[in-house]
Amino acid sequence: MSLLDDLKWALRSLARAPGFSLLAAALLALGIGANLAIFAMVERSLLRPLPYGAPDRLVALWEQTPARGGLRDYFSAADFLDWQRESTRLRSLCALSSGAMNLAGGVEPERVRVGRVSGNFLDVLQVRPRLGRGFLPEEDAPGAPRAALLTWEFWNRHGADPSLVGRTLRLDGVDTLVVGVMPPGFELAHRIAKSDIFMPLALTAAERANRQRHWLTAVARLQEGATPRDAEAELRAVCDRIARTDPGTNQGFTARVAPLRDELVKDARGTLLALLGAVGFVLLIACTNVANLLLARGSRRGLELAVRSAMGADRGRIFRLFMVESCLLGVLGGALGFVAARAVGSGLALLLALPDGTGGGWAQLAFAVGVSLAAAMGAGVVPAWRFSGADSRPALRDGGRTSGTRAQHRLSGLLVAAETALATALLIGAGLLLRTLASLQGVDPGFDPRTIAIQVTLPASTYRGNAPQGDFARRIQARLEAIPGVISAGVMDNLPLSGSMRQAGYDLEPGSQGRPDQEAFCYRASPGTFRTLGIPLVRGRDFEPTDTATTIITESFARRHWAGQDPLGRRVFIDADDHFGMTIVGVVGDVRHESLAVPTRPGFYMPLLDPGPAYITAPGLVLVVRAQVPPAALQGALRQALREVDPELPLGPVRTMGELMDQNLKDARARGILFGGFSLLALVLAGAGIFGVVSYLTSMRTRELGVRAALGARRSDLLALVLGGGMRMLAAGGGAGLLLAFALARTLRSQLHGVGTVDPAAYGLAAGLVALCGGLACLAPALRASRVDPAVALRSE
Amino acid sequence: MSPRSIIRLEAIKKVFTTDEVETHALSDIHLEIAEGEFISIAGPSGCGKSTLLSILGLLDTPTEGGYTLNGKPVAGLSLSERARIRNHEIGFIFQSFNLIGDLTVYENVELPLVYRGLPLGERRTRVMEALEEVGMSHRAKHLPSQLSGGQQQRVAVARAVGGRPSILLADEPTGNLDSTNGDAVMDLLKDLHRRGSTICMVTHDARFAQHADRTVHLFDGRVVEESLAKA
Repeated sequence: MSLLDDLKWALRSLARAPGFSLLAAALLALGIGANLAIFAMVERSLLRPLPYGAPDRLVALWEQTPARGGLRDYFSAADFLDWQRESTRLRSLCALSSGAMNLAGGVEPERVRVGRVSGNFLDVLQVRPRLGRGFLPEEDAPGAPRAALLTWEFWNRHGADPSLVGRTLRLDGVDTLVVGVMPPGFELAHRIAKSDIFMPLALTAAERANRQRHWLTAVARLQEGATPRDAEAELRAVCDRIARTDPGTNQGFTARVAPLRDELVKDARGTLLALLGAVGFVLLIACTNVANLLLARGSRRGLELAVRSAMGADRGRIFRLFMVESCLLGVLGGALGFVAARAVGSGLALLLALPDGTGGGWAQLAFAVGVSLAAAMGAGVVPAWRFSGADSRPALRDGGRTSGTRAQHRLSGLLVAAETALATALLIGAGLLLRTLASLQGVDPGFDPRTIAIQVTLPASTYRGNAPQGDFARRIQARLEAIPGVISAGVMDNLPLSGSMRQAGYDLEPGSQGRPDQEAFCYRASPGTFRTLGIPLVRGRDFEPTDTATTIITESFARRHWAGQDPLGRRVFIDADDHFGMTIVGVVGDVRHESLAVPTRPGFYMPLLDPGPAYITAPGLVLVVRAQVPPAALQGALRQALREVDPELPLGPVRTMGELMDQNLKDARARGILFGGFSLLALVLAGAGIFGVVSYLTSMRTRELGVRAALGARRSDLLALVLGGGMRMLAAGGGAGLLLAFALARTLRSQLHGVGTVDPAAYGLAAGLVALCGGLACLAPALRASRVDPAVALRSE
Repeated sequence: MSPRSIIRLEAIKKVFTTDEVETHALSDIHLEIAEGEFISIAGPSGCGKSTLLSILGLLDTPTEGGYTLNGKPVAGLSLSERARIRNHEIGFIFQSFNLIGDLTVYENVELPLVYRGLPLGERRTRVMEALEEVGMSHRAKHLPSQLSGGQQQRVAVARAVGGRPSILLADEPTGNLDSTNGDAVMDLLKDLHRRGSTICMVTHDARFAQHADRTVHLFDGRVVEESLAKA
C-alpha cells in the first residue's frame, strides 16, 4: 500500500463527510489564519533585514545621563563630533535630528516633516537614492545652499514628477534644491519622527562647540570585526575623557551602543511577541478541537479500522492513514487561513501602527506551510496513535457499534481541560491588558482634554530668536481670542504628551558651574495658557505680558526643593553659559509630560513673550484654544486668523488634547483590543470544543442515562450528572489555566500599568467567563440528557 | 383472605403513530398481579411483551386504559413523580444487565438508593445485604467489565432488590446468558420469590416461563392465554 493509496482513501474519506471536513478545516483556518496575520507583522518588523546595506553592521548610539536616571538621552553636537573623531571601532557615524518646515507654493502652505542628517548618512546606511544623488560634503556646511532628498512617498504625493529633481522647493521661505528621491519605503526612525524629506544638519560653529543642548541621535556602521560591545566600551572611554575635561557639562555621562534593529523594534517587540503567544494559544485550542473531532469520528469508524486491521494493515499503516487525513485537513485549513490572514492583516497592522506585512514573501510562505503541517500533526497525532493501537475484536464482534472506550472518553476530557486552560490563561492576559488600558484612561493628565491644540511651524528665516516668536504669539493670541465661540487662548512652545519634550538642567544658586544631575521639563507659555489648558494655578499668579526673567514651577518642582515652604520669590537658574536666572511667580498643577503611563516629573514654565535666553528658542509653537464650539467648526476661523497674522504659515492639524491622549494610548489600546479579540476567539473555540465533547460523550451515554432514569433518576439528577461532568473538566482546565496565566502575566509585566500580575478582578472575570461559557456549552447536551427516554434501557444493544 | 393486588391493568391499549401509520402494540390488556406472585409474560418477538413491561415499569404510558399500582392510579403522573415511584416500588432486571461501566459493583447497587436520598449508612447496609443475597459481596469493588455475564446479572438482581421494591420486573433476564448461567439466575429469581418477592418476568423461552406461578401469553398485542404452573 503506497502513500498515494493512503492519500486517495483519505480524500475519499473526507469527501464522504463534508460537514466534518469543513468544520475541522475551518477550526484550523481560524488558528492558522490568526498566526499568519501576526507572523506577517513579526516577519516584517522583527525578522526582515532592514532596508540598508549590510544592516547587521549598523548600530544605534545614545547617551545616558545621571539626570535622566539611566534613561536614553539625546546628545550634544560637540559630544557627537568627539565620538566621530575618536572612535576606531565605528567606521562611520551620522547624526540625526528631526523637525518641521513649511512648504510654500501650493494652494495652502504645507507643514512637512524634516529629517536633519549628517551629509554622509547615505554612505553610513549604504543606500542609494532611487532618483538623483546624495548630499555633497559642501552641502553639509553652515551657510551652504540648502539641499533636500525627498522620500518616495512624499515625491508621489506631489505628482511623482522625475523633473522635480534639480528643481527647488520653498521651505520656510528659503529655496531648497531637490537633489534626489529615496527608494520606496525608506525611513530612518531611530528616535526621530518619520520624515517627508531629509536635509543636511549643517552644524554651525556654535552648535559644534555646545555640550549642553542635547538634541541629536546617531546611527553608525561598525568596523569589520568590531562588535557593539567593543564600540560601546570605546565610546565610554571617550565619554570619561570628555567628563574629565568638561566636568561641568558631562559628569557622569556614558555612551550606549546597540544593534540598530534592536533599537528600531524595541517598542513593537514586546507587543508582537505577546500577540504571537496569544495566537499560538488560539492555534493550540483549534488543534485540540480538531483532535476531539477526529477522536469522535474515529470511534464511529471502528468497523472500517477493524476490517483494515483484519486485512493485514499494521499499526503503522493505520497511523499513516490517519496522519494523511489530518495533513489534508491542515492543507485545507492553511489555505483558508492564508486567505483570512490576508483579509485581516492590513487592519491589524493599522491598529498596531506597524508596517503592513501581508505582502507575502518566502518566510511567510514557509511559515504558512510549517504552521499548517504542525497544526495538522498536532491535531492528528493523538487520534492516530489511539486508533492505530485499538483492539479490533470488539468492533468485528458487534459490527462496529462499539463506540468509544473509557480511555478515549478520558482523553477527550483531558483535551477539553487543556483547551479550557489555554483559553483561561489568554482571557486573564487580556483582562490584565484591558485593566491596564482602563487604568491609563483613568489617569488625570493634569490638563483639560477638551482644549484644542494646533501646531504651527515658524520658519527660522522670519522668526529667528525669541523676540519675533513672542511678537507672533502676542498677535495670534489676540486674534484667536477674538474668534466668536472662543473662551480663551494661549501659546506654548511644546505640548505635554506630544512626544517632543525639552528638558533643561537648572540650579538654585547663581554661579555654580552647572549641576547636570538636576533636570526638569521646560516649557514656554504665554499669559492665559494655563487657564486655556485647564492647568490649575495653585499659588501666585499667571504670566503677564510684561514679565521678564520670571518662571512658574510645577507642584512637584516645588515639592522637590521647597517642601512645606513658600517657593514664590525664589530663583531658578537655567544651567547654561549665561546662567540665566528667573524669579518664581507662581505654582501650577503637574501634567503628564512623556506618557500617561509615566509618572509626572518636575517642570517649569518660562514666559513666551519674554525674549529670555536665545538657546531655548523652539522651531515651532502650539496654539491652544478653549472654545464653546467643536474643533471642526473652528477650522475656518483658525485658518483665517493665522492667514491674517502670517499668510505664509500653514495650519497644522486641529485636534483636542483628548485626541493627543488617545494617541498616547494607542499601543495599550491595540494590545488590549487584539489580546481581547484573540482571547474571545479562544473562548468561543473552547466553548465549541466543550460543547462538542460533552455532546459526544452524552450521546455515547444514552443507554446509561436511560438506565439511570429507569432506576429512578429524575430529570434534575441527569441534568446535574452531565453538567457536573462538564464542569469537572472545566474546573480542572480552569485551575491549570490560572497557573498558566500566572506565568503569562509575568511575561506581560512590562506592558502592565496600574494593575499587578495577580489581579483578582482579571482572574475572577476570566474564571467567570470560562465558567459561564463552559456552563452554556454543557447545558444543551445536559438538557438533552435529562430528556432521555428511560425505555432505552429495555432495548437490546 | 386473598393476597393484595400489586398491579391492576384495565383495558390497556398502546398505539404508536409514525408517519400517519398507527401500530397497535397492545389492545385491551387486563392483568392483575398479586403480592408474592411470580408471573411470566410470554410470546413471540413483536407480540408486545416489552411494551407491556415498559408500561408496567412506568417507562411508558398507555394510550388508553387504567393502571393501578399498589392501589393508586398512576396514569397522569408527572415525570418526576413517575421517577419517584419507579425508584421506590419497582426493581428492574434487564436482559443486557445494564450495569454502568464506570461504577463499581457496590456503586451500581447503591445507585437507586442514592436517587432515593437514603443516608450513607443505610445505603451501605442495604447494598451489602443485597450483594450477600446474590452471592456477590466479595466482588463489591470490581468493575462490571471484570465480571462474567452471569455475575453481572447477579449484580443487576442485587441492584433491583436493594431498594426493596414492591415488584421486580425482569426483561428476558437470561437472554444474554448461557444455559448454566441462565439456570443460575432463574434459581436466584425463584429463591427471591420463595422469600416473598413479587416478580413479573418477560421471556420467550418456555423453559424458563414454566418456573412462574402463572404465564400470560401475548400475541399481536393481546392476551391470548393464561396458564397456571403445574403443582
